[in-house]
Amino acid sequence: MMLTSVRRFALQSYLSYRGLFLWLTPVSYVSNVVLRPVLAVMMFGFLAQYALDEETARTYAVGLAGYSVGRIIAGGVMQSLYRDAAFGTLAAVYASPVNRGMLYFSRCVLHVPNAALVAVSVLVSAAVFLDLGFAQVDWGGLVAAFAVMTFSTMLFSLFVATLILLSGTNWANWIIILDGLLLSLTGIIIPTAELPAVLFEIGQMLPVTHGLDGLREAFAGGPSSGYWPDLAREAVLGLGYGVVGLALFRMAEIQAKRRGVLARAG
Amino acid sequence: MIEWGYVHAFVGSYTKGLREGRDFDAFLMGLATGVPTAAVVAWVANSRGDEAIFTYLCVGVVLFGVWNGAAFRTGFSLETEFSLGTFGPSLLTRAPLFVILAGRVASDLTLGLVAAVGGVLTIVAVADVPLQVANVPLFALSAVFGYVTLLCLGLLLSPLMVLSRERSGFTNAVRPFAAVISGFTFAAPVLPIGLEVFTWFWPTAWAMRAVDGSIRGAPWGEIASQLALGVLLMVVFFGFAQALLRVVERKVRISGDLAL
Repeated sequence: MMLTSVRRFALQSYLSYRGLFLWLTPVSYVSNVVLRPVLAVMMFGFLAQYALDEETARTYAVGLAGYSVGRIIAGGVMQSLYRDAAFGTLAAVYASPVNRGMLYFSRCVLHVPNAALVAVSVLVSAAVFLDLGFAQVDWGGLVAAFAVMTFSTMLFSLFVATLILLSGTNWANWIIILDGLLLSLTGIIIPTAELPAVLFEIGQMLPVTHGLDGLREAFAGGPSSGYWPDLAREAVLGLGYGVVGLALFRMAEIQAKRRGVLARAG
Repeated sequence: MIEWGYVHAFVGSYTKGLREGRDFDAFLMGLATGVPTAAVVAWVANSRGDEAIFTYLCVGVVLFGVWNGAAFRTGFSLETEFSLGTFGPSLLTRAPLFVILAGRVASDLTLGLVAAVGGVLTIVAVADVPLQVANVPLFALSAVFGYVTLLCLGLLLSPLMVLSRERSGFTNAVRPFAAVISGFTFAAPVLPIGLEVFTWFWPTAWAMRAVDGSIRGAPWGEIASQLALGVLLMVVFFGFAQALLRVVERKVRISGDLAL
Protein backbone atom coordinates (compact mmCIF):
# COMPACT_ATOMS: atom_id res chain seq x y z
CA MET A 1 0.00 0.00 0.00
CA MET A 2 2.73 2.40 1.08
CA LEU A 3 4.87 1.35 -1.87
CA THR A 4 1.98 1.96 -4.25
CA SER A 5 1.47 5.44 -2.86
CA VAL A 6 5.15 6.27 -3.24
CA ARG A 7 5.14 4.89 -6.79
CA ARG A 8 2.07 6.96 -7.68
CA PHE A 9 3.58 10.08 -6.15
CA ALA A 10 6.79 9.53 -8.11
CA LEU A 11 4.87 8.92 -11.33
CA GLN A 12 2.70 12.02 -10.83
CA SER A 13 5.78 14.09 -10.14
CA TYR A 14 7.58 12.82 -13.21
CA LEU A 15 4.67 13.17 -15.61
CA SER A 16 3.68 16.64 -14.50
CA TYR A 17 7.30 17.79 -14.66
CA ARG A 18 7.94 16.36 -18.13
CA GLY A 19 4.62 17.35 -19.59
CA LEU A 20 3.86 20.70 -18.04
CA PHE A 21 7.22 22.38 -17.37
CA LEU A 22 8.02 23.92 -20.75
CA TRP A 23 11.46 25.25 -19.85
CA LEU A 24 12.93 21.78 -20.31
CA THR A 25 14.11 22.32 -23.89
CA PRO A 26 17.90 22.88 -23.94
CA VAL A 27 17.88 26.60 -24.79
CA SER A 28 15.05 27.46 -22.40
CA TYR A 29 16.54 25.38 -19.59
CA VAL A 30 20.02 26.88 -19.87
CA SER A 31 18.47 30.36 -20.25
CA ASN A 32 16.49 30.06 -17.04
CA VAL A 33 18.65 27.88 -14.82
CA VAL A 34 22.11 29.17 -15.73
CA LEU A 35 22.11 32.37 -17.77
CA ARG A 36 19.34 34.32 -16.07
CA PRO A 37 20.77 33.92 -12.54
CA VAL A 38 24.29 34.73 -13.75
CA LEU A 39 23.04 37.83 -15.56
CA ALA A 40 21.14 38.93 -12.44
CA VAL A 41 24.42 38.77 -10.52
CA MET A 42 26.12 40.83 -13.19
CA MET A 43 23.33 43.38 -13.45
CA PHE A 44 22.98 44.13 -9.74
CA GLY A 45 26.53 43.26 -8.71
CA PHE A 46 28.03 45.69 -11.22
CA LEU A 47 25.35 48.23 -10.26
CA ALA A 48 26.64 48.08 -6.67
CA GLN A 49 30.26 48.32 -7.85
CA TYR A 50 29.37 51.34 -9.98
CA ALA A 51 27.22 53.23 -7.48
CA LEU A 52 28.46 51.96 -4.09
CA ASP A 53 31.37 49.60 -3.41
CA GLU A 54 32.64 46.05 -3.96
CA GLU A 55 31.68 44.75 -0.52
CA THR A 56 28.06 45.75 -1.06
CA ALA A 57 28.15 43.99 -4.43
CA ARG A 58 29.09 40.76 -2.66
CA THR A 59 26.29 41.22 -0.12
CA TYR A 60 23.83 41.64 -2.98
CA ALA A 61 25.18 38.49 -4.65
CA VAL A 62 24.29 36.34 -1.63
CA GLY A 63 20.81 37.87 -1.65
CA LEU A 64 20.49 37.23 -5.37
CA ALA A 65 21.15 33.55 -4.73
CA GLY A 66 18.02 33.43 -2.57
CA TYR A 67 16.04 35.47 -5.07
CA SER A 68 17.08 33.29 -8.01
CA VAL A 69 16.15 30.10 -6.17
CA GLY A 70 12.73 31.57 -5.45
CA ARG A 71 12.35 32.74 -9.05
CA ILE A 72 13.12 29.39 -10.71
CA ILE A 73 10.88 27.47 -8.30
CA ALA A 74 8.00 29.95 -8.73
CA GLY A 75 8.36 29.97 -12.53
CA GLY A 76 8.43 26.17 -12.73
CA VAL A 77 5.71 25.29 -10.24
CA MET A 78 3.28 28.02 -11.29
CA GLN A 79 3.48 27.20 -14.98
CA SER A 80 3.07 23.48 -14.28
CA LEU A 81 -0.18 23.83 -12.38
CA TYR A 82 -1.44 26.54 -14.75
CA ARG A 83 -0.76 24.34 -17.77
CA ASP A 84 -2.45 21.41 -16.07
CA ALA A 85 -5.62 23.47 -16.55
CA ALA A 86 -4.70 25.14 -19.84
CA PHE A 87 -3.78 21.86 -21.59
CA GLY A 88 -6.89 20.15 -20.28
CA THR A 89 -5.07 17.47 -18.24
CA LEU A 90 -6.37 18.74 -14.90
CA ALA A 91 -9.89 17.77 -15.92
CA ALA A 92 -8.80 14.15 -16.31
CA VAL A 93 -7.00 14.24 -12.97
CA TYR A 94 -10.08 15.67 -11.25
CA ALA A 95 -12.03 12.68 -12.54
CA SER A 96 -9.62 10.22 -10.92
CA PRO A 97 -9.85 9.03 -7.29
CA VAL A 98 -6.18 9.86 -6.58
CA ASN A 99 -5.36 11.42 -3.21
CA ARG A 100 -5.56 15.19 -3.66
CA GLY A 101 -2.71 15.98 -1.29
CA MET A 102 -0.47 13.63 -3.22
CA LEU A 103 -1.62 15.14 -6.49
CA TYR A 104 -1.09 18.70 -5.28
CA PHE A 105 2.36 18.32 -3.77
CA SER A 106 3.67 16.12 -6.59
CA ARG A 107 3.55 19.20 -8.84
CA CYS A 108 6.63 20.71 -7.23
CA VAL A 109 9.05 17.97 -6.16
CA LEU A 110 11.15 17.63 -9.31
CA HIS A 111 11.84 21.36 -9.41
CA VAL A 112 14.18 21.00 -6.43
CA PRO A 113 17.28 20.11 -8.52
CA ASN A 114 16.73 23.28 -10.56
CA ALA A 115 16.89 25.34 -7.37
CA ALA A 116 20.20 23.69 -6.46
CA LEU A 117 21.63 24.38 -9.92
CA VAL A 118 20.52 28.00 -9.78
CA ALA A 119 22.14 28.48 -6.36
CA VAL A 120 25.40 27.06 -7.70
CA SER A 121 25.18 29.27 -10.82
CA VAL A 122 24.77 32.41 -8.72
CA LEU A 123 27.50 31.64 -6.20
CA VAL A 124 30.04 30.56 -8.83
CA SER A 125 29.36 33.63 -11.01
CA ALA A 126 29.62 35.87 -7.94
CA ALA A 127 32.98 34.30 -7.14
CA VAL A 128 34.17 34.89 -10.71
CA PHE A 129 32.82 38.41 -11.31
CA LEU A 130 32.60 39.90 -7.82
CA ASP A 131 35.36 38.00 -6.02
CA LEU A 132 32.94 36.48 -3.51
CA GLY A 133 34.87 34.47 -0.93
CA PHE A 134 33.75 31.31 0.86
CA ALA A 135 36.35 31.07 3.63
CA GLN A 136 33.96 31.76 6.52
CA VAL A 137 30.90 29.95 5.19
CA ASP A 138 29.03 27.57 7.49
CA TRP A 139 28.24 25.04 4.76
CA GLY A 140 25.67 23.16 6.82
CA GLY A 141 23.78 26.37 7.46
CA LEU A 142 24.11 27.41 3.83
CA VAL A 143 22.63 24.17 2.53
CA ALA A 144 19.90 24.29 5.18
CA ALA A 145 19.02 27.87 4.20
CA PHE A 146 18.71 26.98 0.52
CA ALA A 147 16.70 23.87 1.36
CA VAL A 148 14.25 25.79 3.53
CA MET A 149 13.85 28.61 0.98
CA THR A 150 13.24 26.02 -1.74
CA PHE A 151 10.62 24.33 0.46
CA SER A 152 8.79 27.55 1.32
CA THR A 153 8.89 28.88 -2.24
CA MET A 154 7.51 25.60 -3.60
CA LEU A 155 4.51 25.72 -1.28
CA PHE A 156 4.00 29.43 -1.84
CA SER A 157 4.13 28.90 -5.62
CA LEU A 158 1.55 26.11 -5.41
CA PHE A 159 -0.63 28.47 -3.36
CA VAL A 160 -0.33 31.24 -5.98
CA ALA A 161 -0.89 28.74 -8.80
CA THR A 162 -4.12 27.70 -7.11
CA LEU A 163 -5.20 31.34 -6.99
CA ILE A 164 -4.50 31.41 -10.75
CA LEU A 165 -6.76 28.37 -11.21
CA LEU A 166 -9.51 30.01 -9.17
CA SER A 167 -9.25 33.36 -10.95
CA GLY A 168 -8.82 31.95 -14.44
CA THR A 169 -5.96 34.33 -15.16
CA ASN A 170 -2.66 33.81 -16.97
CA TRP A 171 0.38 32.65 -15.00
CA ALA A 172 2.72 34.90 -17.01
CA ASN A 173 1.17 37.99 -15.40
CA TRP A 174 1.56 36.55 -11.91
CA ILE A 175 5.19 35.57 -12.35
CA ILE A 176 6.08 39.13 -13.37
CA ILE A 177 4.39 40.51 -10.27
CA LEU A 178 5.94 37.86 -8.01
CA ASP A 179 9.35 38.47 -9.55
CA GLY A 180 9.05 42.17 -8.74
CA LEU A 181 7.91 41.49 -5.18
CA LEU A 182 10.79 39.09 -4.54
CA LEU A 183 13.31 41.53 -5.95
CA SER A 184 12.13 44.60 -4.10
CA LEU A 185 10.54 43.48 -0.81
CA THR A 186 12.54 40.51 0.52
CA GLY A 187 15.73 42.33 1.48
CA ILE A 188 17.87 41.20 -1.44
CA ILE A 189 18.99 44.74 -2.16
CA ILE A 190 16.79 47.12 -0.18
CA PRO A 191 16.99 46.17 3.54
CA THR A 192 13.49 45.29 4.73
CA ALA A 193 13.87 47.66 7.70
CA GLU A 194 14.04 50.58 5.26
CA LEU A 195 10.79 49.73 3.50
CA PRO A 196 7.59 51.69 4.25
CA ALA A 197 5.43 49.91 6.86
CA VAL A 198 2.92 48.42 4.40
CA LEU A 199 5.61 47.10 2.09
CA PHE A 200 7.57 45.77 5.08
CA GLU A 201 4.53 43.73 6.18
CA ILE A 202 4.02 42.38 2.65
CA GLY A 203 7.69 41.42 2.56
CA GLN A 204 7.35 39.50 5.84
CA MET A 205 4.64 37.37 4.24
CA LEU A 206 6.77 36.44 1.23
CA PRO A 207 9.00 33.40 1.02
CA VAL A 208 12.77 34.06 0.88
CA THR A 209 12.60 37.09 3.27
CA HIS A 210 13.33 35.17 6.51
CA GLY A 211 15.41 32.50 4.78
CA LEU A 212 17.62 35.20 3.33
CA ASP A 213 18.44 36.51 6.81
CA GLY A 214 19.47 32.98 7.76
CA LEU A 215 21.41 32.53 4.54
CA ARG A 216 23.41 35.69 5.16
CA GLU A 217 24.14 34.59 8.75
CA ALA A 218 25.34 31.21 7.55
CA PHE A 219 27.38 32.78 4.77
CA ALA A 220 29.15 35.05 7.23
CA GLY A 221 29.94 32.00 9.38
CA GLY A 222 27.95 33.16 12.39
CA PRO A 223 26.80 30.73 15.11
CA SER A 224 24.04 28.32 14.14
CA SER A 225 21.83 29.85 16.84
CA GLY A 226 21.85 32.95 14.63
CA TYR A 227 20.25 31.41 11.57
CA TRP A 228 17.98 28.64 12.87
CA PRO A 229 15.25 30.99 14.13
CA ASP A 230 15.11 32.68 10.70
CA LEU A 231 14.99 29.34 8.92
CA ALA A 232 12.29 28.11 11.30
CA ARG A 233 10.16 31.19 10.49
CA GLU A 234 10.68 30.57 6.79
CA ALA A 235 9.64 26.92 7.14
CA VAL A 236 6.53 27.77 9.17
CA LEU A 237 5.52 30.36 6.58
CA GLY A 238 5.90 27.73 3.85
CA LEU A 239 3.84 25.18 5.81
CA GLY A 240 1.11 27.77 6.23
CA TYR A 241 0.97 28.35 2.48
CA GLY A 242 0.97 24.57 1.96
CA VAL A 243 -2.10 24.05 4.15
CA VAL A 244 -4.06 27.03 2.81
CA GLY A 245 -3.04 26.21 -0.78
CA LEU A 246 -4.27 22.61 -0.51
CA ALA A 247 -7.61 23.80 0.92
CA LEU A 248 -7.93 26.26 -1.97
CA PHE A 249 -7.04 23.53 -4.45
CA ARG A 250 -9.90 21.41 -3.12
CA MET A 251 -12.14 24.46 -3.36
CA ALA A 252 -11.06 25.01 -6.99
CA GLU A 253 -11.97 21.40 -7.77
CA ILE A 254 -15.37 21.66 -6.10
CA GLN A 255 -16.05 24.94 -7.90
CA ALA A 256 -14.92 23.49 -11.25
CA LYS A 257 -17.15 20.41 -10.87
CA ARG A 258 -20.14 22.42 -9.69
CA ARG A 259 -19.92 24.83 -12.61
CA GLY A 260 -18.84 22.25 -15.12
CA VAL A 261 -15.74 24.28 -15.98
CA LEU A 262 -12.95 21.77 -15.61
CA ALA A 263 -10.20 23.43 -17.58
CA ARG A 264 -10.40 27.06 -16.64
CA ALA A 265 -7.36 29.14 -17.46
CA GLY A 266 -6.73 32.58 -18.92
CA MET B 1 10.65 56.29 -54.01
CA ILE B 2 8.36 55.35 -51.14
CA GLU B 3 6.59 52.03 -51.35
CA TRP B 4 3.21 53.09 -49.96
CA GLY B 5 2.13 49.49 -49.60
CA TYR B 6 4.98 48.93 -47.17
CA VAL B 7 4.01 52.03 -45.21
CA HIS B 8 0.45 50.70 -44.96
CA ALA B 9 1.79 47.32 -43.84
CA PHE B 10 3.98 48.96 -41.17
CA VAL B 11 1.14 51.16 -39.90
CA GLY B 12 -1.27 48.21 -39.92
CA SER B 13 1.12 46.01 -37.97
CA TYR B 14 1.87 48.85 -35.54
CA THR B 15 -1.82 49.59 -34.98
CA LYS B 16 -2.63 45.90 -34.50
CA GLY B 17 0.12 45.64 -31.88
CA LEU B 18 -1.17 48.68 -30.03
CA ARG B 19 -4.74 47.39 -30.05
CA GLU B 20 -3.69 43.99 -28.73
CA GLY B 21 -1.63 45.48 -25.94
CA ARG B 22 -3.69 48.38 -24.70
CA ASP B 23 -5.94 46.52 -22.24
CA PHE B 24 -5.77 46.96 -18.48
CA ASP B 25 -3.84 43.71 -17.95
CA ALA B 26 -1.12 44.88 -20.32
CA PHE B 27 -1.02 48.23 -18.56
CA LEU B 28 -0.54 46.56 -15.18
CA MET B 29 2.10 44.24 -16.58
CA GLY B 30 3.91 47.22 -18.04
CA LEU B 31 4.09 48.74 -14.57
CA ALA B 32 5.08 45.43 -13.00
CA THR B 33 8.04 45.03 -15.37
CA GLY B 34 9.35 48.54 -14.71
CA VAL B 35 8.53 49.59 -11.15
CA PRO B 36 10.39 47.03 -8.94
CA THR B 37 13.70 47.38 -10.79
CA ALA B 38 13.32 51.16 -10.77
CA ALA B 39 12.70 51.09 -7.02
CA VAL B 40 15.79 48.98 -6.40
CA VAL B 41 18.08 51.02 -8.67
CA ALA B 42 16.73 54.32 -7.30
CA TRP B 43 17.35 53.12 -3.74
CA VAL B 44 20.94 52.18 -4.58
CA ALA B 45 21.56 55.50 -6.36
CA ASN B 46 20.00 57.38 -3.47
CA SER B 47 22.32 55.64 -1.00
CA ARG B 48 25.34 57.07 -2.79
CA GLY B 49 23.85 60.50 -3.47
CA ASP B 50 26.13 61.13 -6.46
CA GLU B 51 24.18 63.34 -8.87
CA ALA B 52 25.96 62.21 -12.03
CA ILE B 53 25.54 58.51 -11.21
CA PHE B 54 21.92 59.09 -10.27
CA THR B 55 21.21 60.84 -13.59
CA TYR B 56 22.87 58.04 -15.54
CA LEU B 57 20.86 55.40 -13.69
CA CYS B 58 17.60 57.30 -14.30
CA VAL B 59 18.13 57.03 -18.05
CA GLY B 60 19.22 53.40 -17.68
CA VAL B 61 16.17 52.46 -15.64
CA VAL B 62 13.80 54.08 -18.14
CA LEU B 63 15.40 52.28 -21.10
CA PHE B 64 15.53 49.04 -19.13
CA GLY B 65 11.81 49.37 -18.37
CA VAL B 66 11.00 49.93 -22.04
CA TRP B 67 13.22 47.05 -23.16
CA ASN B 68 12.05 44.63 -20.49
CA GLY B 69 8.37 45.32 -21.17
CA ALA B 70 8.75 45.33 -24.95
CA ALA B 71 10.88 42.17 -25.13
CA PHE B 72 8.53 40.33 -22.78
CA ARG B 73 5.56 41.36 -24.91
CA THR B 74 7.31 40.41 -28.16
CA GLY B 75 8.25 37.01 -26.77
CA PHE B 76 4.87 36.36 -25.23
CA SER B 77 2.85 37.41 -28.28
CA LEU B 78 5.05 35.35 -30.60
CA GLU B 79 4.75 32.34 -28.31
CA THR B 80 0.98 32.73 -28.35
CA GLU B 81 0.95 32.99 -32.15
CA PHE B 82 3.15 29.90 -32.44
CA SER B 83 0.90 27.87 -30.20
CA LEU B 84 -2.26 29.05 -31.96
CA GLY B 85 -0.68 28.44 -35.37
CA THR B 86 -1.37 31.97 -36.63
CA PHE B 87 2.23 33.08 -37.13
CA GLY B 88 2.99 31.12 -40.32
CA PRO B 89 -0.05 32.29 -42.29
CA SER B 90 0.58 35.89 -41.20
CA LEU B 91 3.81 35.80 -43.21
CA LEU B 92 1.99 35.08 -46.46
CA THR B 93 1.43 38.73 -47.25
CA ARG B 94 3.12 40.62 -50.09
CA ALA B 95 4.87 43.04 -47.69
CA PRO B 96 8.33 41.99 -46.48
CA LEU B 97 8.42 40.31 -43.10
CA PHE B 98 10.92 42.97 -41.97
CA VAL B 99 8.29 45.68 -42.38
CA ILE B 100 5.59 43.70 -40.56
CA LEU B 101 7.79 42.82 -37.61
CA ALA B 102 9.19 46.37 -37.43
CA GLY B 103 5.62 47.57 -36.92
CA ARG B 104 5.07 44.99 -34.21
CA VAL B 105 8.31 45.83 -32.39
CA ALA B 106 7.59 49.58 -32.67
CA SER B 107 4.20 49.03 -31.03
CA ASP B 108 5.85 46.94 -28.28
CA LEU B 109 8.32 49.76 -27.66
CA THR B 110 5.48 52.29 -27.53
CA LEU B 111 3.63 50.16 -25.00
CA GLY B 112 6.92 49.75 -23.14
CA LEU B 113 6.70 53.44 -22.32
CA VAL B 114 4.18 52.48 -19.62
CA ALA B 115 7.03 50.74 -17.80
CA ALA B 116 9.22 53.77 -18.39
CA VAL B 117 6.67 56.19 -16.94
CA GLY B 118 6.13 53.84 -13.98
CA GLY B 119 9.90 53.74 -13.50
CA VAL B 120 10.21 57.53 -13.54
CA LEU B 121 7.38 57.96 -11.00
CA THR B 122 9.03 55.34 -8.78
CA ILE B 123 12.37 57.11 -8.96
CA VAL B 124 10.72 60.40 -8.00
CA ALA B 125 9.03 58.68 -5.04
CA VAL B 126 12.11 56.81 -3.82
CA ALA B 127 15.08 59.07 -4.51
CA ASP B 128 16.01 62.49 -3.25
CA VAL B 129 18.93 63.36 -5.50
CA PRO B 130 18.84 66.18 -8.08
CA LEU B 131 19.63 65.46 -11.72
CA GLN B 132 22.90 66.82 -13.06
CA VAL B 133 23.59 67.20 -16.77
CA ALA B 134 26.52 69.11 -18.24
CA ASN B 135 25.30 69.13 -21.84
CA VAL B 136 21.50 69.05 -22.01
CA PRO B 137 21.02 68.92 -25.82
CA LEU B 138 23.44 66.00 -26.26
CA PHE B 139 22.02 64.30 -23.20
CA ALA B 140 18.51 64.45 -24.68
CA LEU B 141 19.77 63.31 -28.09
CA SER B 142 21.70 60.39 -26.55
CA ALA B 143 18.76 59.26 -24.43
CA VAL B 144 16.37 59.36 -27.41
CA PHE B 145 18.94 57.52 -29.52
CA GLY B 146 19.15 54.87 -26.79
CA TYR B 147 15.40 54.39 -27.15
CA VAL B 148 15.69 54.10 -30.95
CA THR B 149 18.44 51.45 -30.69
CA LEU B 150 16.00 49.22 -28.84
CA LEU B 151 14.11 48.89 -32.12
CA CYS B 152 16.94 46.94 -33.71
CA LEU B 153 17.34 44.76 -30.61
CA GLY B 154 13.64 43.91 -30.75
CA LEU B 155 13.84 43.18 -34.47
CA LEU B 156 16.66 40.70 -33.86
CA LEU B 157 14.72 38.97 -31.09
CA SER B 158 11.79 37.92 -33.29
CA PRO B 159 13.65 35.85 -35.93
CA LEU B 160 15.94 34.38 -33.27
CA MET B 161 12.88 33.06 -31.46
CA VAL B 162 11.47 31.64 -34.67
CA LEU B 163 14.69 30.07 -35.92
CA SER B 164 15.74 28.57 -32.61
CA ARG B 165 12.27 26.99 -32.42
CA GLU B 166 12.34 27.89 -28.76
CA ARG B 167 9.18 28.92 -27.06
CA SER B 168 8.50 29.42 -23.41
CA GLY B 169 11.14 31.12 -21.31
CA PHE B 170 13.47 32.03 -24.18
CA THR B 171 13.39 35.76 -23.45
CA ASN B 172 14.10 35.26 -19.74
CA ALA B 173 17.82 35.28 -20.48
CA VAL B 174 17.72 37.55 -23.53
CA ARG B 175 16.17 40.43 -21.58
CA PRO B 176 18.81 40.64 -18.82
CA PHE B 177 21.61 39.87 -21.32
CA ALA B 178 20.72 42.93 -23.38
CA ALA B 179 20.40 44.98 -20.18
CA VAL B 180 23.87 43.96 -19.00
CA ILE B 181 25.59 44.52 -22.35
CA SER B 182 23.77 47.83 -22.83
CA GLY B 183 24.95 49.07 -19.43
CA PHE B 184 21.53 50.20 -18.21
CA THR B 185 22.49 49.78 -14.55
CA PHE B 186 26.19 50.67 -14.67
CA ALA B 187 28.62 52.42 -16.98
CA ALA B 188 30.44 50.02 -19.31
CA PRO B 189 33.97 50.61 -17.87
CA VAL B 190 32.81 48.86 -14.66
CA LEU B 191 32.75 45.60 -16.63
CA PRO B 192 35.86 43.39 -16.65
CA ILE B 193 37.71 43.95 -19.94
CA GLY B 194 36.70 40.53 -21.28
CA LEU B 195 33.06 41.52 -20.99
CA GLU B 196 33.50 45.14 -21.98
CA VAL B 197 34.59 43.97 -25.45
CA PHE B 198 31.01 42.79 -26.08
CA THR B 199 29.70 46.30 -25.47
CA TRP B 200 31.84 47.65 -28.34
CA PHE B 201 29.55 45.78 -30.75
CA TRP B 202 26.25 46.80 -29.15
CA PRO B 203 24.51 50.01 -30.32
CA THR B 204 22.66 50.65 -27.06
CA ALA B 205 25.94 50.50 -25.16
CA TRP B 206 27.29 53.36 -27.32
CA ALA B 207 24.12 55.33 -26.65
CA MET B 208 24.65 54.84 -22.90
CA ARG B 209 28.31 55.90 -23.26
CA ALA B 210 27.07 59.08 -24.95
CA VAL B 211 24.58 59.59 -22.10
CA ASP B 212 27.42 59.21 -19.59
CA GLY B 213 29.63 61.62 -21.56
CA SER B 214 26.92 64.26 -21.85
CA ILE B 215 26.26 64.05 -18.08
CA ARG B 216 29.95 64.53 -17.27
CA GLY B 217 30.60 67.19 -19.89
CA ALA B 218 32.73 65.21 -22.32
CA PRO B 219 33.80 67.02 -25.55
CA TRP B 220 31.21 67.22 -28.36
CA GLY B 221 33.49 65.29 -30.68
CA GLU B 222 33.76 62.36 -28.30
CA ILE B 223 30.00 62.11 -27.83
CA ALA B 224 29.34 62.57 -31.55
CA SER B 225 31.73 59.74 -32.37
CA GLN B 226 29.99 57.49 -29.83
CA LEU B 227 26.62 58.24 -31.39
CA ALA B 228 28.04 57.68 -34.87
CA LEU B 229 29.35 54.27 -33.83
CA GLY B 230 25.92 53.49 -32.43
CA VAL B 231 24.25 54.44 -35.72
CA LEU B 232 26.73 52.32 -37.67
CA LEU B 233 26.06 49.31 -35.43
CA MET B 234 22.31 49.87 -35.77
CA VAL B 235 22.66 49.59 -39.54
CA VAL B 236 24.62 46.35 -39.09
CA PHE B 237 22.00 45.00 -36.67
CA PHE B 238 19.18 45.90 -39.07
CA GLY B 239 21.04 44.12 -41.86
CA PHE B 240 21.56 41.06 -39.70
CA ALA B 241 17.90 41.06 -38.63
CA GLN B 242 16.82 41.35 -42.27
CA ALA B 243 19.06 38.44 -43.24
CA LEU B 244 17.58 36.29 -40.47
CA LEU B 245 14.05 37.28 -41.46
CA ARG B 246 14.78 36.29 -45.08
CA VAL B 247 15.70 32.83 -43.79
CA VAL B 248 12.38 32.70 -41.94
CA GLU B 249 10.48 33.85 -45.04
CA ARG B 250 12.25 31.28 -47.18
CA LYS B 251 11.21 28.57 -44.77
CA VAL B 252 7.60 29.64 -45.02
CA ARG B 253 7.28 30.65 -48.65
CA ILE B 254 9.56 28.18 -50.41
CA SER B 255 9.59 25.12 -48.22
CA GLY B 256 5.95 25.68 -47.25
CA ASP B 257 6.84 25.00 -43.63
CA LEU B 258 4.05 26.72 -41.72
CA ALA B 259 4.58 24.71 -38.57
CA LEU B 260 6.77 27.34 -36.93
